[in-house]
Amino acid sequence: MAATEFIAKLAELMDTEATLELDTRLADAADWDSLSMVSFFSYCNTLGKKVSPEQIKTAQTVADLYKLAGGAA
Amino acid sequence: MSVTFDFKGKNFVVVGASSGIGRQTAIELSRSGANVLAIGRNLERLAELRETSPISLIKHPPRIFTEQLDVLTATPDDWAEVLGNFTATVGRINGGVYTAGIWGLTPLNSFDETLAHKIFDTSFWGAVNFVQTATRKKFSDGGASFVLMSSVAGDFAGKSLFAYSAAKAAVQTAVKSFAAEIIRNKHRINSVAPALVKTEMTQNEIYSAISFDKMSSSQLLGLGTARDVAGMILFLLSDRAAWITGQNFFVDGGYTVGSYN
Repeated sequence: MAATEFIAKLAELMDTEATLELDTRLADAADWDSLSMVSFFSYCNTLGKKVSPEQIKTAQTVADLYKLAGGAA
Repeated sequence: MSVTFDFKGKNFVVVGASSGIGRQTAIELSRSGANVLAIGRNLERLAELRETSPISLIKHPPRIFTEQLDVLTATPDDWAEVLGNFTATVGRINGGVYTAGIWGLTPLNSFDETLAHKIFDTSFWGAVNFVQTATRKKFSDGGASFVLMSSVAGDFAGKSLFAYSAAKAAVQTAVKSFAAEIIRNKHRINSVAPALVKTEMTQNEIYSAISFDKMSSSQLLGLGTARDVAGMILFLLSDRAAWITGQNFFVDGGYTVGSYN
């Protein structure tokens, strides 16, 4: 999956209107909350990616999530 | 003695608006000043509904917009498209009502699996898909209100009604989960559970044969009309219900009480 495609998907999962970039820090993204984490976790499952909640919690940037979802970043 | 709602300049979506409770809700919202997107399967019926839009009101002519969509086959993209068309014209929505539903008998012994799934897909999965798309920031203003249709059957399941009853119970329960999630955007969601109401859905032959007499005789206030139910829906959509979310409301003409007499 291309990075732009992933970012669009992530914005939808987070239901955010803020602009996301690969280097956006998740701590600065207002809509990155526990519900978004669960949405992301569930999305990774649909991709067949085994991701642990710990990995999601420790992700720092959008690029980290992209890696978890199987993208090369 | 009457209650009137003022939805002037507000935008609402009604799914399942070609007939019954959905149609009545769309008409009443429109007459209360709202812009209404009426979604249904039947284009002709929707066109006829659009004609009832009281365009003669000069100040803020309320409007009924229509879109044809089959909730059984609609994809997330389809939902996004019809909601996008509406919000591009009138702005983001202030709420939505999902009334699409079909009724059918599914005796455990010999039920039609296709029908059983269709009942579930229409009442439950269709509602889930609608709520998923409609509650997104892109389409809904913060603080929007949503209403889904349950039924007394969700609590008091009769013979041969497992699919319909389970689907309607599922709606009640999903509403509680959704309420906890969509509060993030200050949205509210509730369900309404009517007893027997005179609509096209309940006019079908089998329904009449099996349920009509028995049910309507249990209803202390007799057979209901779509209007009886629409009043509760409009209330839940309004800001008078601003402190109400995640609940189910019986509008049952006294059925629940009458059944035990």
